[in-house]
Amino acid sequence: MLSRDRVRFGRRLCQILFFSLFIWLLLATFYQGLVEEGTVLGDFIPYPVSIFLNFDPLAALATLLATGSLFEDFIWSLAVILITIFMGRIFCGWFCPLGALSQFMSWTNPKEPLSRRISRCQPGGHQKIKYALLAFFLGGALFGMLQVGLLDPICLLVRSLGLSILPALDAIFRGALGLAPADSDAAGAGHRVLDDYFLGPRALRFHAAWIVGVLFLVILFLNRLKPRFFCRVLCPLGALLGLLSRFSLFTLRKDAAGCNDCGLCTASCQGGASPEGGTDWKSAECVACFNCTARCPQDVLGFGFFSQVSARDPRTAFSRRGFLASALAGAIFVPLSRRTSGPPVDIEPLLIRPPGSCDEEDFLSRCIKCGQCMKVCPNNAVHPASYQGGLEGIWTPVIIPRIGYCEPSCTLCSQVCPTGAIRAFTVADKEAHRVNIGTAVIDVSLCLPWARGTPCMVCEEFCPVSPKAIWFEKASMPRPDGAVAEVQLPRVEPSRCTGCGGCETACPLPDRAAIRITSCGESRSSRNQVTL
Amino acid sequence: MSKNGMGRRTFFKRAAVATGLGAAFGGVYLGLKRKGLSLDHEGQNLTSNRRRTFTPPEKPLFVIARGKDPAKLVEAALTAHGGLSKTISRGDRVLIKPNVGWDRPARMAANTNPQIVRTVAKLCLDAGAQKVIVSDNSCNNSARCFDRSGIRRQLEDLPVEVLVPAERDFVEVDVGGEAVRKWPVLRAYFECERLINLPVAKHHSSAVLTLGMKNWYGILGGGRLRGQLHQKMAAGIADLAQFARPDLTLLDAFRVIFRNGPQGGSLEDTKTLNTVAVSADPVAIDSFGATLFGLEAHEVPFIPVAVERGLGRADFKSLDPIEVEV
Repeated sequence: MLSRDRVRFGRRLCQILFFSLFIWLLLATFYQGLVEEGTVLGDFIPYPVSIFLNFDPLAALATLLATGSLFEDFIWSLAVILITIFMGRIFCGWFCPLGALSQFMSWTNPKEPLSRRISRCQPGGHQKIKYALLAFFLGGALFGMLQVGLLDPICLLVRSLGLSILPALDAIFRGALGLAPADSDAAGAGHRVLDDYFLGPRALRFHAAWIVGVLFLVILFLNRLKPRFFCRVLCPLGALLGLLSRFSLFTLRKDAAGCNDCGLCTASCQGGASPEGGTDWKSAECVACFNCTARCPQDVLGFGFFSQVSARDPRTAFSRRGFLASALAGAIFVPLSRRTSGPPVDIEPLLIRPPGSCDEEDFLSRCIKCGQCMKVCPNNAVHPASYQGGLEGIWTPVIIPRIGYCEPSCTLCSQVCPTGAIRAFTVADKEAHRVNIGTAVIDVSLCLPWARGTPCMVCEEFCPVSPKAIWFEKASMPRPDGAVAEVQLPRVEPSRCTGCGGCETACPLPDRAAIRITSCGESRSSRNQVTL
Repeated sequence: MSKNGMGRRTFFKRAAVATGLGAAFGGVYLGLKRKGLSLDHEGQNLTSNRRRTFTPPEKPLFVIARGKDPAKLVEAALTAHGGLSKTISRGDRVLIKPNVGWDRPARMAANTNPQIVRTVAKLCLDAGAQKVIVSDNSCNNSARCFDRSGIRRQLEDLPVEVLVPAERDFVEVDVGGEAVRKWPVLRAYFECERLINLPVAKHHSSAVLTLGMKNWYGILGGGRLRGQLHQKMAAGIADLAQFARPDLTLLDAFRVIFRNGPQGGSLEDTKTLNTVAVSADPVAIDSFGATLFGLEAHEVPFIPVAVERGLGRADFKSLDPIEVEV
């Protein structure tokens, strides 16, 4: 029989393993070179971090409620559901990467008096909040608004690390390498390691992602207040799994008679599940971390199947009424946010979605804001929306062509989308104008040939379609000294334009581009078209 | 230990910490200072400008080769030119500069033919080059350009460094031209003794054609600001040709884009010409390139500017071209 210490050791090992796996997959969610399919060189990501999301029952349930259909990759989440039904929140305690990080951040100071630690770890009303959040999110999802990704632990971790923490670390590492002379071998080798195994050679930066990063750091440090604060108080997935664990067969056995009330179990309890003798074990809160059994000096605690269940309280401490009220609040929030925070006009010109995206309403009911499409984009074109999609669309993907354009030969964002918000498409679809994302328009008040009679035509050079969507007209432009400059004036033929934004990225004006993409003409919308 | 004075152990501890802190601050200071220096003074203190200034001979050789196999074509052309060992000495570092500007497969002819790049790299190694670097600062995503052009794969099994440049690989220098003044230039340019230009001949919407001299845009950094050079296209190209002074130019006209350049994007924009040309005279090469598109040298605006600056001759026929069929 395994000693209880060794079970805890196994749990720690498992957490480290799955956290490392998560980081590896997250780093692998990037352009990895090309593979040959038939005679066509294409890009392909064998192991995106999507795999973790496929196992996420909350993302599955919320998208099911919001869209009325289940995206097939979510079939894997059934495994987590089954484990939870039979064995409780093993996922939280052993496999969840954010759970592992939260638990790591919850380390105790050995100098802290035991009494203080016990009172810090006591269960309390704050643990109800996560159920309220779950109900709120699901209530909204029922009416087509998907906000669960804001706090779903997998989405939160992918987004926060991918868009904010890792790019910042990359900058820190490269800054440190910058202290060595730029042409030294050591610095070069260091940069190459970062290029090949970290985030690639391009210094990724995501627009307004500092908010994502700061919130993540706040969440991490909240774990200093109470162990696993995030899991106890905020995690809607933990709440869902808590509900599912109601009839779990794997329970904590307490030999109350042998308990001497030392309190060591409570002081090490991660979930706030009342492991001590004389109280009911709160199975919905327990993350099965095995701390209590490992710490008990009297050896009166132990997990097992079919053990006595008399000292168990499987209820969630959150009333049915509270659940309904929160769900109702979530439902009411849908029209509230749509009527008060949407784009200032009906169709937002800067809301340029990645190619293959569903029509806006459908898109918003599918996108769980995990940020993988942003992480994976080799041109750093896709960014978390801050205002473009209203409150509802916060952190959904939006292309900012001035920072990066949509590469005509690339399909990576559609490969990693875990919910089908970005539909699978091929390079041929792009070439055949089936997944246009917008249209280029020229600002003649800025454009060098138009406004100053200065030759330029960089936009035309970068236009990737053949025949080019940007063509030029030879013209004589007046100059202030009375002379006339013979220049080529760029013009856009909208029927050829895919909206890729190569022109806007390349426009050599240093600040605002003189040619810009607007969402008009995007294939996904039947309304956002300029021509009949 | 003693009650008021500092104990011996405490003293040593503090001394160690103080020394550590001092060393850390000193290290950071020196690091910063060094970094500042390497960017200062317009590159004059580049620790390693190994480039040997090259002046073409009075009457350089000019070879035109035609044939159906790109690798054999290059071999024949370079053999007729006297072999690469004429240009490369044992132990030289060589920078090969193909055109890898666009995220296009080889058949679209937007980049230098990958087999031609491979053959030249291999011949450089055969000629005794200690190191061969192949690099270009692409217009599209560089990594994808090197992958999709097939160039990275063609060089996979050769001991060649494929340098996909990042921002740190450039150093700001005074190029000293009329249009191109202070600009970030690929560091590898200064670190190699020999420079081989490996352009592909293409139609170009704003430069009329892109040939050898235009290819030097690819050693410039500067992100989108590079596009500002379009304002003085001909002068900028001549500036760069004057700065770069390659030891040899091999023009890839195996397959060319004759319209919709410099990117193309459709097979209908391309034409197979089965030709390469080699010479140490960059202007003669470009003038020959112009004839492939049915143009006279003076119809390509940057060629007369280059002639005016004494970079070479437009009349390539006066070099008595050696023609080879493979």
